[in-house]
Amino acid sequence: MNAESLVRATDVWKIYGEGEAEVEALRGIDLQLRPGELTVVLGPSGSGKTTLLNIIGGIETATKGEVVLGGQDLTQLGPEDLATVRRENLGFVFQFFNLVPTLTAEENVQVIAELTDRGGDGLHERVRAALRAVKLEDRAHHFPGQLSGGQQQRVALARALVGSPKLLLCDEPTGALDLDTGRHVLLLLQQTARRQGTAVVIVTHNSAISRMADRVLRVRDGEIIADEDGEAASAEDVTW
Amino acid sequence: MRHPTLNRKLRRDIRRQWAQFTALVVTVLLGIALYAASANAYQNLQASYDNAFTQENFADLFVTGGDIPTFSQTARATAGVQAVSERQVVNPPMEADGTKFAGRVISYPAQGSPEVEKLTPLSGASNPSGTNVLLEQHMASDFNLTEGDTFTITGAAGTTEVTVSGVVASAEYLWPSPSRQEPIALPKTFGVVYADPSLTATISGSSAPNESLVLLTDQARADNGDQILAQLTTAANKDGASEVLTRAQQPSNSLLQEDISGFEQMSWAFPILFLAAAGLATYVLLTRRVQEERPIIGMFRAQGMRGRTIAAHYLKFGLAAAVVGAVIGLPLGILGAGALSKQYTQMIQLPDSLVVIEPFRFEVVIIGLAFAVIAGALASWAPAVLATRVTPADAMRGDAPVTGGKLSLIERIIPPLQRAPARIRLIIRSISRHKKRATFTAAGVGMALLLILVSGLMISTMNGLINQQFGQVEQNQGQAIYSVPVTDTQLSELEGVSGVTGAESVIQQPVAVRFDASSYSTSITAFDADTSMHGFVDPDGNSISLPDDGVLVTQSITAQLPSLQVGDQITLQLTEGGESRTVTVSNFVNEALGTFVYSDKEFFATTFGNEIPPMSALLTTTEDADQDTIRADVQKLPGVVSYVQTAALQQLWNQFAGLFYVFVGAMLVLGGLMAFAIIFTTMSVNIVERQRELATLRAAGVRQRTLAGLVGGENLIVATFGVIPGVIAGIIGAKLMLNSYSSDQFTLNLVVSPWIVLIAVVAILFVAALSQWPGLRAIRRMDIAQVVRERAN
Repeated sequence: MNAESLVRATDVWKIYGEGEAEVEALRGIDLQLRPGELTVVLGPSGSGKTTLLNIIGGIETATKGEVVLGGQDLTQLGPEDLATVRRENLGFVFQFFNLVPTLTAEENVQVIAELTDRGGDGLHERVRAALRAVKLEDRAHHFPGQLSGGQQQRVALARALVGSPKLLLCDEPTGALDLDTGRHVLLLLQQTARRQGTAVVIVTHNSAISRMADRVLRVRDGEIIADEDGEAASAEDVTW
Repeated sequence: MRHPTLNRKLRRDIRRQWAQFTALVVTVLLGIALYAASANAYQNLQASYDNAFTQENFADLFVTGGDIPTFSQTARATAGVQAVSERQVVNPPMEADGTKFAGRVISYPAQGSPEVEKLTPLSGASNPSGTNVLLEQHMASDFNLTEGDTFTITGAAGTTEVTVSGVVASAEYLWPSPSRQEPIALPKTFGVVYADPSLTATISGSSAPNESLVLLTDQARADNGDQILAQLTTAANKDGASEVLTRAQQPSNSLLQEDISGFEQMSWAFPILFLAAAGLATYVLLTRRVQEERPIIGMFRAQGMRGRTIAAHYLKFGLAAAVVGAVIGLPLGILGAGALSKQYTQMIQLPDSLVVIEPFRFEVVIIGLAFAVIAGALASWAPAVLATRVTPADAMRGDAPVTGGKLSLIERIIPPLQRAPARIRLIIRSISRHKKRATFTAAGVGMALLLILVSGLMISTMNGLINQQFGQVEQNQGQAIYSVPVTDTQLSELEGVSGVTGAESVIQQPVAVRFDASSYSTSITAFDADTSMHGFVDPDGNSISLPDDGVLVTQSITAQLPSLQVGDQITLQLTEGGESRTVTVSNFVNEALGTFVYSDKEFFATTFGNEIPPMSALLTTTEDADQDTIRADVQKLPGVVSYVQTAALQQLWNQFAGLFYVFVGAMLVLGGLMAFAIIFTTMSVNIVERQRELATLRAAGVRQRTLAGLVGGENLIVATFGVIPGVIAGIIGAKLMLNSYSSDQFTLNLVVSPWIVLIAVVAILFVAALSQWPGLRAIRRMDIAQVVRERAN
């Protein structure tokens, strides 16, 4: 294993169902993710890319194989231990934001920050810093219903980053956004990878986004069919 | 770990659904307030009675007749007995304020107080002396007598004029009940007088005590009181006692305890009902909330939030409603208890010095809070656990998974329904989409019906009791009691009174009925064989006649003599004279009030001899006769010592029934509130869940009233599912409640009035329809564009 790897997946399989209804969502995946690297996982609908994201993030358990994150094999951990690993290492950005509608932008970030709060005054500063990073400090007291889709996704990004995760997993983060807003969010993700050294994985079916990646993984029928270097273009130049 | 932001989310969630939260709070509040009111009232009244018993050394055992001195000696020698007192009790005719009535004279020391059965002085003297007597307070108020007033008592030595020297209260006559068989006496038909032993002896014609009163020590009463009393009862019966009553059986105490036991029953029945209803509504609301927040919960889980943190968040919602409801309900209930206790003690004229009203009972508060918290926790438990089972992957899926996409069971059972208009199929499938929610809504409606019917059917039962007692059984309009034997002369005089259409003499004697090892004190009444003054109805409802060679006994005697059956032989021992005879029980009869033995006069004479003459007569009057005039005229006849108007008794019972209407009215309101809270909550949840589909239908041009009809119709159908179980539960509940009140004094056979059931059902369905109004208004005001564009929140 490369000494710099943050995540190492070895011969990972995910099989749903049994007998005739059996579906092999992932088939023998081998993968390594490195800090500071922006990886785009590309594939059509049903290719297994979201399943791969879930397995890496400890949200689903592989049927067989090994997934090591931060020195721990996720396939050997129970649900509460997995939650602990996610709490300490991961951030998630979802396609539909999943913001709590009754909490303000600041509070949506704070509710996650409290999970890793170790007391003292640092909590509020971390929250503010996360909102500053996504340029939404002036919207801190707005509720999701008062924010545009892009602003909501930026709040979701701030929420994902407030715990200073080593790994940021994004499932179709621009799927519900228009072009300009989507590009802006992608730029933030790119900056997160480059400036904070966070490993960022973006799952998408939109091949245009792959231009901004340091690395592109193409997934089809549950297998990684290509693992190539990306253009690492600026997100501002991405268009679709 | 603290999660202040999650708590903030909780507070805002509550604010956002303030109406539903308020419905939950109100339901909990009602249950807890009723608990606190009834528990506190019960404890206040019981404490007041206990205080009266302690202050007055209320007897544990009342023994009448037989060898009193021997029994008293035995009792004094028994371990656990604190004191034994003897007294004389005689029931002579009296006249006061122009009214003749049957009174009771009880001997009381001219100085000091007896060891058992002391009196509580209310005004004037504390002891009788010579012809100066003390009046029991009810007699004083009925006849408007105060110190210095006079009235007459007719005894063995003739008529004596006595003077009221004081008014007293006695725990024995808190409810002025002449006997267990005559639990309720009309005003001005009964009165209790306390006279010194020499006056009592003059009135009775004997100085021998005929009652022994036994008081146990507090310790003995607590440890093995029942055992000691059973032992003493056996001894008393062996010594020839005609009646042995424990404290619990003493007529006044027995009636009052039955009454306040109603408060005790309410103190657990009400909270169970209301908290169950609140629990159902909480479950429905929270389950929907968890469903709605699946993506957010999934996100929390994905971000590493612990399962127990998520569970606690949802648990707190149910607990919040429960605690808020309890915090408001408890003080309301405590205040209510104070007012209720005060009113009740005033109604029974319990002297203020004996009343115990504790404004605050710590254990009631703790139990009330515990009730609420446990109910809230139980109701929220399942949704909270459901929330912990949301997987992080659910966060990826966006909206809550859509459910219910299949044919309903009823469509599969009745295939033609699959070709019914789409809106009918929509209603059917919507109902089966959330079976648990539909079940809980129906259960809530059922519980509301249970509450209303238990009280409503008590009304129909009371009316049935009154109709049976005064329509089938008591076919006379009055009873004249004489100091001389009733012969044809007296009967002619009665029939000569204007308005009287017939008169029959009756023999009435107090008896002890002995069967197996048990004994029961009652009276035997002997009528003319073809009497038209009293109806006899067997347990199957058939009219029967008096037998030639046996007796009829009211079926309620089996409460005291459980193994007694038709055909069995019983021993009747006359209280006056002590003669015993063995007779056959020819049949049981059904009567609502009291427990009695009946025979015809010939059989009575054959059994007990001709020496016991009839001392009273029953009479019938024309329908339009003025009963008060008849009473006044009858009382003027020679030999008449008192007259009891049957119509007045019926009126008294009607007044009691009237109180029930107030109670039923209150239950109707409470049941309606309960049904409203549940249906409103589930209706709101239904609408929120289907906002997008409803908005889409509106966008497609479906009329507002069609939509309202679809949603409203669905909820009303679900509500009707609760009707049949609710009616069945209500009938069963009413039967259980009435059985708990039935005794040898009252036989309460459930009468199910179809009208009451119909009114209850219509009332609940009306409330169900009304409770949908806020939800239907929300549909009308829906912003269609916003809803179809965005995800439902």
